[in-house]
Formats: sequence, C-alpha cells, structure tokens
Amino acid sequence: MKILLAEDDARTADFIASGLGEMGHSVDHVSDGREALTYCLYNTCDLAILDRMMPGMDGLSVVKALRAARKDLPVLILSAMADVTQRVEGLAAGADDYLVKPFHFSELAARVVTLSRRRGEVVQTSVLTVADLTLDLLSRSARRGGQAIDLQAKEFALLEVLMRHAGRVVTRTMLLEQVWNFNFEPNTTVVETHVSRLRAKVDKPFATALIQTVRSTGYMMNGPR
Amino acid sequence: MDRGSVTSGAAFTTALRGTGVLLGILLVTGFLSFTYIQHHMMDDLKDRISEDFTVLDEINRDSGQAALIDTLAALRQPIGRALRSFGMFDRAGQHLAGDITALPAQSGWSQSAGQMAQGSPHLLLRRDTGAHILVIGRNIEDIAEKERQLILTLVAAGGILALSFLLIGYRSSASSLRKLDGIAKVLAQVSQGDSAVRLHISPQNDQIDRVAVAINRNLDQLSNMIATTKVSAAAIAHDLRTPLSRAFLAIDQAQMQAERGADPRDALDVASGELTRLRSIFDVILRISRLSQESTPTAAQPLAPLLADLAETFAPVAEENGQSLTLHPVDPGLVIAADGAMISQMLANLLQNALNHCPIGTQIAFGAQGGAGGLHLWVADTGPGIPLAERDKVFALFYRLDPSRTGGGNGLGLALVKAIADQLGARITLSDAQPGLRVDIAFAP
Repeated sequence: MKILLAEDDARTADFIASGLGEMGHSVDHVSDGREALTYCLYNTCDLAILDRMMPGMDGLSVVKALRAARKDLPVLILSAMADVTQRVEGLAAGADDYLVKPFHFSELAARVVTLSRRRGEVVQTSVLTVADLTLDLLSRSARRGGQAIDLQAKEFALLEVLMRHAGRVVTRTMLLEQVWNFNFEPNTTVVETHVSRLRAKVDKPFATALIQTVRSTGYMMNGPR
Repeated sequence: MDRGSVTSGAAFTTALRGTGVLLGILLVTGFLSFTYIQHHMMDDLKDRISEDFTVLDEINRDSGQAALIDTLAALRQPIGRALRSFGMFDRAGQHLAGDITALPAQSGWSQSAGQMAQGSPHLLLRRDTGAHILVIGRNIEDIAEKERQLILTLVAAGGILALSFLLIGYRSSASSLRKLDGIAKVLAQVSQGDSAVRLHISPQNDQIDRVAVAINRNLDQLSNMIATTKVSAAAIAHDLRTPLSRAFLAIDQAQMQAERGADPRDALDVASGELTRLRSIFDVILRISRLSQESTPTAAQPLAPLLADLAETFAPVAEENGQSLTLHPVDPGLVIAADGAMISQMLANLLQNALNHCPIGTQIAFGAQGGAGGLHLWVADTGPGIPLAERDKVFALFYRLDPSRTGGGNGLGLALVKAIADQLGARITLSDAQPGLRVDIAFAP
C-alpha cells in the first residue's frame, strides 16, 4: 500500500516510516501541510497520515481541502490534542481516524490496517457473520450455532466493533473510543472486564474461541468474515 | 497630595460646575425677587401718600386753609429722621406751610433728597387741590436699606453655598484620589511579585470601594493560582519523575537482557506501561487546564440514560473486584443542561476512584435527584472513607491519601472531577457515609 506521511518532526517520521516499511507499505514523507495537500491532489496514494500541527497548513485544513476537492482517500490524523472534543473535531473535518500522540506503533499499525480495508468494503449489511456467530444489527440479537445469546448493550457494541474488524487487531484504545467514547483512567479494567464477560457468553459454551487476545495491544476476532 | 490632581478630579470638577449653575440660578431668582419686592414696597408707599393727600384734602375742604395749616404744623416731627413731610404752596408756588420748602418742578410723583431739612431722600407727590398745591413726601431710606439688606443676604447665601459646594467637592475629590493612589500603589506592588497585599476598604462603601472589593477578590484568586501553580509544578515534577525513572530502569534491564541473549520483551512491556502512565498524566493535566478556559452552553438532556450507561460500564468491573455497584432509580424526567460527556467523565472518575480505593465487599452506589434546590448527583461507598482533615486536600493535583504513591491512581482523578464541577458551576462536598465516603455534586437550581 502506498502511504503519504506528513509529519514535521523528522525523528517521529523516521520511526513511523520504517515501521510501516517493515509492514510492507511504501511510504512517502513530507514535512509541510501545503506539500501534503499538493501530493494528495496530484498523486495517487492509498492512505494519508497527517500530523495535526504542521508548518504551512494544519492537518485539519488539509483534510477539509481534500474533501472539498472530492478526494476520498482514507486519512488518519495524528495529534497531541487528546480530548474527546478534539477527536470529534478531527472526524468532523473529514478524517477517517484520529490517533493521539504519543502512541504505540502497534496502535498505529492496527489503525492503518483497518483504514486500508475500510474504503474497499461498504458495510451496508445489517447482519454481521464470523464463523458460526451472527449479529443482527436491526433486531439487536446474537446467535451462535443456532443458539441465541443474550447480550447487554455494551457487550453488543463491543461484539459489533470486533466483528466489523474481524481478522484485524482492535486495540484497547479503539474499543474505548468506539464503545464508550470518554477518557478513562489508565489503570481501568473496563475493557478487560467487558471482554471477559463477552467471552463467557460468546466463546465459553462453544468448542472454538473466536475472540483472541493480542499481547499488550488489544483483541482480534478470528478469521475473515 | 498634589493639589492640581485633586482639582482635576471628577468630584471637584462636578462641584465646580454645580456651583456655577447654582450661582446662575441664584442671580436670576435674586434679581426677580428683588425687583418684585422693590415694586411692592414703592406701591405700598405711594398708597399711603395718596391716603395722606385724601385726608389733608378733606380737612382743607371741610375746615378751611387755617385748619390745614394747623394740621401740618401738628404733623411736623421736629426731632430725628422725618418719616413723613409736607409742603403747602399757593398757586404761584409761594411756600405757605410745612417742612417742604421747595416745590417739585412737575406735578405727580418725584423723588428728592434736597427739599427737606433732614436731607434724607423722600418720595414726593405734588398735587393741586384747586386752591393751593400740596406736596406730600415719605422717607424712602427704609426701602433703600431693605434693598441693601436683601442684596447682602443673597450675596452671602451665594457665597456660603458656593464655598461649601467647592469644599465638599475638593474633599471628596481628595478622598477619591487618595483611594486611587492606594489602588495604584497596591497594583504596582502586585506587579512586582507581592501577591499578598490587599486594598484597604473604607466604611463609606462608595464606587471606588466596590471596585477595590472586586480587585481584592481578583487578587485572592491570583494568589491562589500562583500558590497552586507552585505546588502543582513541584508535584508534577515529582510525579512525572517516578514513572520516568521506572521506564529508564526497565529499558536498561531490557538492554542487558538483549545483550546476554535473553528475551527483553517483559522489561520493555514494563517500560511501555510506565510511559503510558506518563502520557495519561499529561493528558489529564492538559484536560484540566483546557477545562478552566472553555465554556460551552449546552441544551438540556436526559440524565437517566447517561447514568444507566455508567452503571452498565462499571458494575461488571465492581463485580470482578468482589465489590458491588448499584444505580439508585433515577426519575426518567430528570434533565441536565450540561455537556453529557463532562457529566459522564466526572461520575466515571468518582466511580473508578471508589473501585480503586475500596476493599473487597464494598458496596458502591450512585444516583441523581432533582427538586427545588437544583439537581444533585451523588456517589457513596462503604469503604474506608477520607479523614475529615484530608477532605479539602484530595481535590488538589497529585494529592493522594497514600503518601507512598504505590496505589493505582495518578492523583489526578479527583482534581479532574473538581475542575469539571467548577466549569459546570456545581459544588462538591465530601462527607462521611458512616461508614465510607459520600460525594455530593450540587448544581445551582
């Protein structure tokens, strides 16, 4: 995948570029907002990673300009601004995802993978299926192997996020953002507790476990949908 | 004090202008009343002279010229100032009787000072009776004297009023200037770093005093902020150093492990965990400082779903910890005019705090009540509680009951709760739940 990285801090850019390179992506790096906009307008690339604060033009303005020019490539904003409201601002400007600095590379990697697939697939279906597990978004019901599973609202939301990203890592932070969307204390066990409850209902009574733990990163739903 | 600054003060210039206006009014009304009184007195005098003429004319007509001459002689006042004087002349102008010896040139009213022996000015009436000419006069010195007194009174009143006006203006201007000088002096001291000085408030409670009260209030806030910043800077430095040094150690350990061919991943996980902790501290500090800057008006929104969401999020965690967490039934009609995310954040921190600091078996409950006194949210637990002496301190940045700082929290949770409550204009109180801690957040009605 061809990725544009717009980041004015050279060291951070090097780390990200080499990490993404190791994942098999080809990365072009610019360190100025205007350059980033020009690049995206006149070159084809599969994903843009934009720093929010850059010389020349800030990341949000670049996204807005891209969307105004009907360029719909996936955009991930990197920012040191951590608040929920600032994240919402970023998404409202047209970004597809918003990652707060400092971050673990595994967090960025998980989001890049998610974004690379998001564009190709149009998830309009009202039923998600992974192996013998189905989740009906309209009737808000879950079944596995023909057996109905009773889920609470948060468990349902959690399962929906995991199933939408089946085969890909979903980080703890992504779950907190998409299921709860407010700032937890760092030592909260909210995600672990809810995932463990979900497992007790979705995996435990059955022969194969679908929800896997990914060491120090998050969780993954088994296999492609 | 510089006299020039006093006389240019607002109070004095107002008094000066007031004095000008007052003297103008006094001049006009004084002139009008003076002419009115003068006319009135003269008319009165003329009436009396006319009556005298009528009486004398009747005597002449009824009893003849000899009787009139006798009467005039009897009326003559030989000693002192003559109030009245008379003269009788024949038609050729020859003096016949009375103390007026010179005939006024024209008949009718005239004034004269010279015709009388006493020489005081008189108002004269010359009139023909047919047989002779009668001249009757009355002393007008009294009228002139009264006029002089009236003018004197008016001038004196004007002078006294003007003087007292100016004096009051000067004194009030001087007093204002003194207070303003005081304010300037105190502010100069503050700008030089002395945040403990305060303005003196006089018992007059005038506008300047009210400004001074407001300035003092701001100075209080300022010195609080300075004190908090000093404390926070020290606390931040300390609390950032702890995870930082742990991360250093873990990375060193990982390096050593890598050098001897061992798996460094566990040590790197520790380093990464400590750095994550560090990041979260930065996040919360930034969030707190942002909170005190921004304010967003928000529409009223239902509270019950928000609280149910929190209960659903934290009850499983409590259960996992061997604790219990229950939401008291909330009136579904209850609404709150505040950012829902802020309310969630505040309650989430309080709930997480209870989960972190209470032992197994603790019951945690929370809820909301409406009513005339305004909306009120509460969180209570049956845990160890907070000693009375510590209750005010727990909202400070990095404050922890456990001074060894080995416990789970970063000492910022309650500081964030307080910052949000301040932002929403709510009051937080901690009390003894007997046993345990009860936190109440009261919103103004």
